[in-house]
Amino acid sequence: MKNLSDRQLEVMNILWEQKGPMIASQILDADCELNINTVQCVLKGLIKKEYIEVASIVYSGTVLARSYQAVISKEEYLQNLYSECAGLSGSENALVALIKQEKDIKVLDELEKTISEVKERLKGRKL
Amino acid sequence: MVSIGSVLICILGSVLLVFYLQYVLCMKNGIFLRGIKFVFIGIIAILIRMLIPINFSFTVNVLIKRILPDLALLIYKPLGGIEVFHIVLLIWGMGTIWKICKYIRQNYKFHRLLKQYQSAGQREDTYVQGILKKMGLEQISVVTLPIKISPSITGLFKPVLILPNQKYSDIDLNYIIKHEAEHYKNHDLWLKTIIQITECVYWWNPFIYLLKKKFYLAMELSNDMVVIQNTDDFEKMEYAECLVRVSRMNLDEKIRGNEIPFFSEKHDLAVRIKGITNVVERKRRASLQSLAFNLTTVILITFVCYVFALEPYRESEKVEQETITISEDNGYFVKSNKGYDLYVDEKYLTTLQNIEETLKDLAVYSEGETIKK
Repeated sequence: MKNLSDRQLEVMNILWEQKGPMIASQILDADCELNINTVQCVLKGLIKKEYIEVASIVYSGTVLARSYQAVISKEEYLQNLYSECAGLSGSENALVALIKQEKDIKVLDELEKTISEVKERLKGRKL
Repeated sequence: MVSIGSVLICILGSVLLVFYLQYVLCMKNGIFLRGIKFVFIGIIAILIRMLIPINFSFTVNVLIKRILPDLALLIYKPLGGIEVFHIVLLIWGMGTIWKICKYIRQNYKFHRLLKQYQSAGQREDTYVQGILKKMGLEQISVVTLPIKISPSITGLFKPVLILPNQKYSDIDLNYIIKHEAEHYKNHDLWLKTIIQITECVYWWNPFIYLLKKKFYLAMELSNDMVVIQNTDDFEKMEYAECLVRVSRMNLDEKIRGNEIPFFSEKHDLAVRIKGITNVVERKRRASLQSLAFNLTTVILITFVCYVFALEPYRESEKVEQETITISEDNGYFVKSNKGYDLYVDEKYLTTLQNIEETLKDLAVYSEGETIKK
């Protein structure tokens, strides 16, 4: 997943909050500090990075405009960014996690079984 | 200065540490119950040595006669006016700078991400902060992220406890906080940073990646033992269940793995659970012999890394100045009335009656014959 610049992240945050397609002028109106030209430029960049897609062509007053929607959810972006920063995809961070994620459910089932067996033996020992 | 010998001893240090940690993690070693901190101090001393791959004034050179002399000939060979060794050092340096810049950038991005989610009055965060306050760790702030991740702690100077927005029971939350708080109290983040920097420097050494994996697992095992000390056996198993529960909560989909040994090191969590069950079932004991063995091993590896360097064998400078090396590249004979005139570097050296066995590869010319260069 490609990195987002601060401006791109700002536009993405607006699209994620809206949860529906928006045209450039609507993005600008939604509390964006950028100007319309920058928004257009950012949207082009986001399409190239495949973070957004053109949802449809709609009327904006008397002119036609593209509406854009997010292709990747905020959670997915955050998950990927976190994985990239914290080490799940190879690069590491100065972070210590409680567990290294176990991906094999069979192992987790076996571990639970082992723990139950030990607890049974403990109960037996106590009696 | 950096030499083949100092670099080789650092590589050897990483290899020895990998084997040592492998032993410690596999055996029913009581070191995690007592004395592991001293072992970690030794390992950090070795890592610091690796970060300074130079010969010290007290370094003792161990001269190796096989392979290394040929390697030295190759490494110190000039290539377009520059020694191959200097080219290798340049590539090494550039790789290190790139890795360190990438590491710093990742850290910066990560902490920028965390700032966006700094806690604001969520139930768990208030509860968590209350527990931290009781433990005297108010300086640790809490961040809850809306994704499936393992609880973690980060921040060398401003510690941050990171939690996923999962519904943990109070018991689980207590164990999670206790575990992460112990990491902070034991300065494990600093240990992790040192090994990460060592990995950046030795990016070309495959053993450093193995060493990092094993060291992290050893650190977690050690932390587990600290969390469960002064608890009864049932509480120990409750903690083990907590680890499994937290892992299960983060599982996105059901993945059926291939048949591999259950307590294989491929599964860090399995190794940790085994460590806890070994303590409960008294299979792991903190004996003095175990402590002595581990400390001795680490001290020995530290000593070897600091004191010795593996250098290629070569004659001393005095010997090199007072002797000459004769080979077919620089020497030849000219047959004369008196015998065989020996020439080295086109200068007459001496006359021999017979050609010795060691010089029989030299070319023999007749008087007046053109010498082939």
